[in-house]
Amino acid sequence: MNRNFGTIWQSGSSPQGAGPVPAGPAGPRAPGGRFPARRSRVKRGRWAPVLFLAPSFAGLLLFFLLPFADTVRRSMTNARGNAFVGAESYASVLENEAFRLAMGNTARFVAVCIPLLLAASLGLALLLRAVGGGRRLKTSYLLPMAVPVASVVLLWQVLFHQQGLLNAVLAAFGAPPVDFMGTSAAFWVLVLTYVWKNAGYNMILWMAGLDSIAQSRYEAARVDGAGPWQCFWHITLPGLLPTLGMVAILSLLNSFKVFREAYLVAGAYPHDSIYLLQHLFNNWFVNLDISRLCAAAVLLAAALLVFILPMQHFLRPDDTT
Amino acid sequence: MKTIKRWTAFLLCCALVLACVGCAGAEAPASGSGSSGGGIGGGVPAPGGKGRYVETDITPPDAQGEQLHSFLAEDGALECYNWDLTKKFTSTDGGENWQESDGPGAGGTLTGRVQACTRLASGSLLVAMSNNNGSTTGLVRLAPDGTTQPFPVAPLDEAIETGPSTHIGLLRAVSEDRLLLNFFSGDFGTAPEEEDGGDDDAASVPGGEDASTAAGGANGEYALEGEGSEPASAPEEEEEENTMAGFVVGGEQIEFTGLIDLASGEVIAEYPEWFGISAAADADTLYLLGYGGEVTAKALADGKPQTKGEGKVAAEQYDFSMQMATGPNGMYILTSKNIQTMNAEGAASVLVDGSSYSFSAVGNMARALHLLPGGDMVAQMDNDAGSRLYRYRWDENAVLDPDKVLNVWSLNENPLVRTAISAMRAQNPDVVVEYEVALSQGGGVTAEDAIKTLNTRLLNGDGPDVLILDGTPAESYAARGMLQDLNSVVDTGGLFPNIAAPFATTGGTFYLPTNMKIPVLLGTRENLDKAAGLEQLIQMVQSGNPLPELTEGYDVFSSLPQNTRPALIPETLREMYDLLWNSGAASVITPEGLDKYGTDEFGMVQQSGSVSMGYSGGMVAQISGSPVAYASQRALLGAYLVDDLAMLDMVMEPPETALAAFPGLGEGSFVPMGLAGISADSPRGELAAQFVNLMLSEEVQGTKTGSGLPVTEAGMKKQIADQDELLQQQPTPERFEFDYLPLVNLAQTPQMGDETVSEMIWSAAQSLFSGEMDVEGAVAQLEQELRNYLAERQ
Repeated sequence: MNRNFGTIWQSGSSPQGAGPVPAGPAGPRAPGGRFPARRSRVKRGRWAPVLFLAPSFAGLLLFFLLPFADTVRRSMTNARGNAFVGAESYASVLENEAFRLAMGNTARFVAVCIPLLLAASLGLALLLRAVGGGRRLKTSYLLPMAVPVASVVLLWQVLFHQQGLLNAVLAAFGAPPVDFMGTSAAFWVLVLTYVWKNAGYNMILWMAGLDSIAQSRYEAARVDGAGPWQCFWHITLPGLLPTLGMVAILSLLNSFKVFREAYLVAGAYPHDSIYLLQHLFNNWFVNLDISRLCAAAVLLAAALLVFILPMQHFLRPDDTT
Repeated sequence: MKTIKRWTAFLLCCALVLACVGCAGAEAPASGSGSSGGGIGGGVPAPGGKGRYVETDITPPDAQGEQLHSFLAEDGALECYNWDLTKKFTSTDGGENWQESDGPGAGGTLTGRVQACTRLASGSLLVAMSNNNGSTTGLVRLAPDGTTQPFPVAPLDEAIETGPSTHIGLLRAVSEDRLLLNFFSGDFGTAPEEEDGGDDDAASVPGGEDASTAAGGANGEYALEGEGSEPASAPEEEEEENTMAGFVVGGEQIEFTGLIDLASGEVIAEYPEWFGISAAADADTLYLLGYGGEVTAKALADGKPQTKGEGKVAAEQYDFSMQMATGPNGMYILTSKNIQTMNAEGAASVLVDGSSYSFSAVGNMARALHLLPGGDMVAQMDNDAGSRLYRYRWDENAVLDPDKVLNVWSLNENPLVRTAISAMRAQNPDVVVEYEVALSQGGGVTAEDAIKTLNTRLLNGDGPDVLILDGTPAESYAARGMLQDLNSVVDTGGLFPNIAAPFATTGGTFYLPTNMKIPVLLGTRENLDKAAGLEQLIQMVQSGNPLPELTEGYDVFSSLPQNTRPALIPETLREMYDLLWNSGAASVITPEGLDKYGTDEFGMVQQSGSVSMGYSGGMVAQISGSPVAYASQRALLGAYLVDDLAMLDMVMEPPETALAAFPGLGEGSFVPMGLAGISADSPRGELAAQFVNLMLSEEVQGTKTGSGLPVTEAGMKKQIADQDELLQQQPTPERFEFDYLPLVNLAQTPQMGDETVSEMIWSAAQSLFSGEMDVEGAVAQLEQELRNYLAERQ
């Protein structure tokens, strides 16, 4: 968006793309100071974005950048922050079994959940678009997001406890009970919860993306004899690429919030399969292992950047289209 | 449009500025849910701020060491009487000066002993009299000139006539013409009638009006009649009555609470459901205060319930040190922790936080609260040393020096800290100690949250000055340099060497226990030898007699024949587990991981926990089932986590009883309690060190706080001497002589188990006990759960 705005401004056209091209500051000046007044407005115009961005940037600086800088600093000092220890904490973190397990579990969770969620929510969006649905139906998909975590946890316990509803159903069919939270089934319970909770929200995002694709393209394609699958493959999917980037990043960030449910149900030391990075961070903080905690946080941030930056690059909208 | 944008931007900027100003000006929040508060509302201003309640001891000089009755007269004068009402002290200037005169009881017109007393509007006193056994004999009106006149109250007189023993719980004239009376009557509280009723009769100890009496003897120490005698041969042969500290247990008990017309003595209303401690009234409403801080309101005229003014103040579940008074702005309620106000809508707020004042000291019991006309408050506090009157006056100009505010933090309430605060206040009147209990009742904070908050403060360098580290990752704090080395600032010379030694590391001593508990095994020497190791004990339990079956009407206190006694009878599975944990926590986790040998303990838990005996039932306070079973000669051995010498002495009554270290995983285990450390960043290091030294002083260690055994020799000796003195004041004087060294010498290895690990093992033990899994399965589950715990600490 900024790039487009810049392009228009540099081309010398008015933002509206119509009307005479205004003379630049270097142009001839009429007596009476007409141009100096314009220059003054231009100067003010230059500062306006800065002023409008300032509050947001201040928040970003105060709540993200400075704390992150402090995190980087602490990752290289002792717990009290008064002695430099170099990369000792990083080495310790990378050698730590709990970190490896947590990192592996988190990566596995993301790798399973994000594609599943993207596919499920896109499917829902397409279905809803195909069959048509009122605002109420759309809103109902957002309800899981409105359910408080405490309630979700209660639901988990009712459903997945060894004497819970699911096991009662299994018992009714003669199947042996499953310890959902004490075995690797816990991972899939967590995946299910995540997808259930976020599918509605992502669906709304997908629908917005679908709305942005011009109907004329579909009409033209149909005139040329394209079927539904070809329309989907050649028009819908490419048209959704910009949305995909945003939805994927939001889903990734939301996937870290699933820790709340896992923690409230299974505590600080859950089954191995759902022992996530946040469990480790939480326990390290309780134990005041702040240097390793900060080192692990920096490593995680680096890993996320490695994931997000290329994604942003590849999934950004094509300017030529 | 442009104008709208400008105005919107302007408004947003204004909102932002206001928000910033608001944040900057806002009072710093009280840290921790159990914070001692701060600012004017807490009675103590923020450091550097102005205004605070100043406490002044206004006890009449000639009444020092005496138990008193104190009242507020209609003209605002304070009136005090000594317990037998022979001396009267009056002050018309808020306790600055006292005039002494003869009390109305000086003429000798009162017969019997004064049990309770209240002042009537006419200036007369209404006195509950008792006989030598402490049983109420009736109420009398005592005029200022000493003349007496019986004051009949039908239910009380009837109870006195028919019941073996009657006690006044509360006697309070709440208005000119209304009296609130609470008494109870039944087969308790009567020691055998003595020929010579000496003055030291326990039942006549002033305090008949207070909660300890009101509790109906429930707080009495457990003792078995016929202790030391040969055990009965069979349960059915046991016909002796059981007693609790000389109180006969059993029979019908009557409790009465009612509003009485002072003119006629007639009962206006009865409140059978009320279980409380204090009452007060304003012009038309009577307020009753329950032990949990609940305030119920009744119409003063007819005693009928009304909802106006009902509410609840924050208090412990059973706070026995509470009093209330009514003032122009509503009710004032003194609890063991603070003074709170409650308005007509029932909304309560803390007016004075007690952590800096005498009324929160351990051992002090609130007897009365008076609101003086000028806004001062006067609290009468009783303890073993007599009554004291403290006045609380708001001083607008009082400035608190930030360097004189010491912050003490603990996860849970620690009575020893309270005692040390009192001692600190006595030594440094200008120092304010703010005691922050992170997990105070009703705070809604988990231990983990509280520790995270503490960690944040420690990392920011503004942690508490003194840390009581129980339940926290103390070793981690020490290893990461958060704690100061105590070697140079704390005198550890008084500590038992075997208790102090394990806390000395190569880097220094970063925390020290201020109390301890020692797991022991009680039994005859022969049986103790048989259970010398954990395996032998397990073998003895598993191959011994089964636990007796409980049938209806079966007396769990009756003894069993020697040859039918099981090895151990714990009351609950948890009791056995806790003892095993406390005797081996530090050894459960080895460098290689879980000590599987230790999990053999599960077998014993499974065996010994298969019957829950249910001893306590509120009767046996502060003592677990296994030592009670041993003391009542129903088990061969008693497993006991000793935290009180008097209790230990009591359960060692059976003949030939010896004690040995509980054969847990650790060698000679003990549980360190009240681990005190000083924050490395504390700007008040000297004061903090003084406080820790006080915690280890004879004065504090010698005070029985219920939080464990003393860790110093001087403290141990003082507690024994105090117990000896107490027993000599009993109707049948006894001596208390306890050789503590063999017990203390058992303690060699501190057991500082992590609560997380304890709960994991307990969870596995429960699964095992409930039959969900076998020992191997429980161990496997435990190993899996502990894997990440151990990995995190690599």
